[in-house]
Amino acid sequence: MKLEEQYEKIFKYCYMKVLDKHVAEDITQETFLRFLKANSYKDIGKQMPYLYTIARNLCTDFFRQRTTFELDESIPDPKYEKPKTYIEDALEKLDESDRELLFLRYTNKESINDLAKHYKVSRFVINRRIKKALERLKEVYGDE
Amino acid sequence: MNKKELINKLNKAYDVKAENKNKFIRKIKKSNISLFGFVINQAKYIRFSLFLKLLIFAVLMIAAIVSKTESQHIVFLYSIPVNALIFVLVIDSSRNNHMEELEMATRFSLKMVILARMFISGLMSFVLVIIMSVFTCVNENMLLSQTFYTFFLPYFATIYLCLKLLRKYRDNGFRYCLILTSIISVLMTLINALEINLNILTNNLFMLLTITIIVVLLINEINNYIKNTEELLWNL
Repeated sequence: MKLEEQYEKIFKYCYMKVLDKHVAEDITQETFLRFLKANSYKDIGKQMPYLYTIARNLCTDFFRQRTTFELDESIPDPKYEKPKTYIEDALEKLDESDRELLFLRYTNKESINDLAKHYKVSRFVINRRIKKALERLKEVYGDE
Repeated sequence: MNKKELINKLNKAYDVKAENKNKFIRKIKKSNISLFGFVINQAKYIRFSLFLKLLIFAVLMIAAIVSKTESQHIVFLYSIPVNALIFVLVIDSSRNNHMEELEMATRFSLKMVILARMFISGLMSFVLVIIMSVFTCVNENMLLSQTFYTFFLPYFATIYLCLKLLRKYRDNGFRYCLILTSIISVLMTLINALEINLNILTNNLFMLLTITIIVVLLINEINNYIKNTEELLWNL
């Protein structure tokens, strides 16, 4: 896999988590820098699950450090730089684990093998979780 | 909505473009140059005068060999520390020319740059010492291990001590290296002139042990030298 493709995938993943383009890009770059600190450049393509783990941890750190404040409902939320699609809205109503799994499988088109490595479970478990997550998404989407 | 349509919509979710992708990737992307290409490329950054010095050295050595003088090995003994000093100058060239900060900022680390230059100049220097050892072995009727020991011990010791001096006395280091080189050269020839019987040359274990110790010390010193350069620049 080319470095540009990997960057796009990690960036989309971070965007899915933080919903802010600039923050997502910062986290993406930090992910690659941390990866390169511990590994050589040529290992990038073989270690997508590791990159996702670093990105996920950095997103968690971001949420921990961020201060929250109440927004007036009439003011549009500034963090959305593009209007959310129905599918994104529906995904946000799911649990984080379901959202992440569906995103990785269908948006980022990761293989079942890679997902099994990332979550440290068997392929069978991943397939079952994806099936259940899709059913829940269908229910939520159907309500929209 | 059926499963296929849902998956289709998921494929197109979170469709955002990264703004600084290309800029960032250019920064971290490794150069296409091979390791061999990089090493050869570094040869351009070694001053021509160094190659000239080594060439003069080689010519003098060949002259000594061809003239078949009895004191051929004395010429070699005297010149080994000088040969080592020339090699040390290559390692110190970055710092001497105040180029270390620039070289640290390049795609290849300062360590890689110094190691590449060491390899090029060290190879030539090393080959000269080997040739001297072989000729001495043949002419003086000594064992090859003994001649290797006689030449490589002062060679490695000079490099080790010079690097230590350069690291400790950054500004006056080169002057001290010249003094040290002269002392070692004189010492080598004095030992030979006074015909001091060094029984150690018959003890293989002792020779192996001392050479191993000096090589280990040398490698450690090169590492410290590079680390010291980086730390000073980063004000650590």
